[in-house]
Amino acid sequence: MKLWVFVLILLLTTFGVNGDNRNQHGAEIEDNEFAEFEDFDEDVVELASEGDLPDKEEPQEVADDFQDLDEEDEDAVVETEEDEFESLDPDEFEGLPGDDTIWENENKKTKKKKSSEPELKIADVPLHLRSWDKYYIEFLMGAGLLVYVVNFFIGRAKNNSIASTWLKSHVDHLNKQFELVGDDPSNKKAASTHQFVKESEHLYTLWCSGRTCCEGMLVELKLLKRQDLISVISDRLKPAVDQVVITITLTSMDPFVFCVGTKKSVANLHKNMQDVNSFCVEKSRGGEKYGLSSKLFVLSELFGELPNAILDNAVRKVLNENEGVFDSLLISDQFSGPLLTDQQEPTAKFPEAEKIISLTLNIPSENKERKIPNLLNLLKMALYLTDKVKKHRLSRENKMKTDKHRQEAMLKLMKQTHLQRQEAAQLKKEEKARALKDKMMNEEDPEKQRRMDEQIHRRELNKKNKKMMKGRQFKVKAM
Amino acid sequence: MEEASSSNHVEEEVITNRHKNYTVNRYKPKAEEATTSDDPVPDYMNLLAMIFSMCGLMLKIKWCAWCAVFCSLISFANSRSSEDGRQVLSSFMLSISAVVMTYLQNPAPMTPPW
Repeated sequence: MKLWVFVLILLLTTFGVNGDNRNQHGAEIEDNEFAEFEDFDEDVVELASEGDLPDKEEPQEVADDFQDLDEEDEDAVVETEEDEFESLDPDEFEGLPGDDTIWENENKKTKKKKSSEPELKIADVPLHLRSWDKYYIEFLMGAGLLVYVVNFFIGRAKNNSIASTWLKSHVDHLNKQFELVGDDPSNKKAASTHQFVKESEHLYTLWCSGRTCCEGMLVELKLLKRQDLISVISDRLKPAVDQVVITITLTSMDPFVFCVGTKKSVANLHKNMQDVNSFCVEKSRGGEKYGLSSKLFVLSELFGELPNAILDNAVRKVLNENEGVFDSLLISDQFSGPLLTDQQEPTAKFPEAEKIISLTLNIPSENKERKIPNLLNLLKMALYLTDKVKKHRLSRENKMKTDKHRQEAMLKLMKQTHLQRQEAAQLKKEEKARALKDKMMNEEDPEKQRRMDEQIHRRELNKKNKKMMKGRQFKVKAM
Repeated sequence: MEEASSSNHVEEEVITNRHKNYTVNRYKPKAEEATTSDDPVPDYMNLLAMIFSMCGLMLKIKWCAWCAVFCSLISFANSRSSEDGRQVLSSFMLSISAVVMTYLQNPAPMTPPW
């Protein structure tokens, strides 16, 4: 762009100095495309020597011209020195004097520039000098983990101490009542361990066996999950207590279902337990009718003589003295565990029932070490009831009532599971027929095979005839 | 009604004492299905720990890895003695490895969402 401007200036000056095509020597110049460049250097020298330099005002005019030119020739392609020499082959100029070609010079310049640029090094900042403040969330997480672990050990130790306190206060009496106190299932021989079996950090069990009137007694300590911090926090929000559940499996008893306990526990038993839900149809009655506290309620299959027979003076005395600790007492000959939920389908078979006495006690939250030994009286009451229930005989009327209840329950279950049993029977028949056919196919003797085939064919015909006869009978009856 | 046989107590060794007239029955623990239905917390926490570990490792999310460690600890605290301890231990090691890997890949501290 600058070159064109310069050329233009030159042109203007030459036309001004020389009116015709003559140079300074008066020689004629050919009017061709290179004519204007013939006196290129001389004109420049003249201008320089004569001092015929443009005035200060002229640069402004020139600048204005430049501006005009710039505006007009925006789309024009201006060849710069770099563009001009790009197309030239550098090999042409090898060996010539002054072989410092432009691009080689430029390469040298860039190389110098590169070598002169300083290399950037990132300093390795040592770990201890970094700002650890930014890791506060990680520190919080670590602290939370530490707190959880510490709580685990403390909670585990506390639960352990509760279990050992209970065992110390009760083991002597258990040794007198049972031959086997504490059984480890991993041992091959039945030997008393006198120790709890640790099911988990909050659940301890003790099995006792070898006593008249009962097959065995299972003591379960269902403690709070003190080893789990989240459970500890939830227990603070929703209060819960440690419980002792004593389950005595009886050898024999008359058929009845009876329970007594706090309002909440009785309602819970009626809602969740299969036997109580099925057989205790009547509404619960207040404990004051039977000489108990008003906070206790009685729910029975048979009201009348039965509650009075069970809740005699001795039992009433113990229950009234230990009102704060007693939760519930269940005596049942049809105990089969919790009620089946909607998701679970009823099985075709009647559920296996056990004859049990189940006593649930709440361990007080304060002064555990002093109050746990007081639970021994309730254990003694449970063993006393074991002997009493085995010997107790229902009146003839009551026995007929209870037998009738059980038959009704059985029929109800049969109806519910009718479809299931039908499908099971169908499957059995199909399997039998298939087995018979397989036997016939595998038979080597052709005569026997033929006879078996005839037998199968006759059976199928008989079945079809029976169905047809039934259908005709129904039609006749309908008519 | 037929007398139902006891389901919980197997008479593996019966000592009959004719004078005292009783039998000594061995203790049979409850079936695993019954125990899992009673307390499903350790199983759920174990599963959550594995899910969080995978999220932390694959997606390089730090808070997931930390949550996995907590879940595996809770599962361990609530686990039953009858359960295999190797599963709980492997879950714990997986969660620790998730935390280590996320910090090796990106040592920058965790930033809160606010």
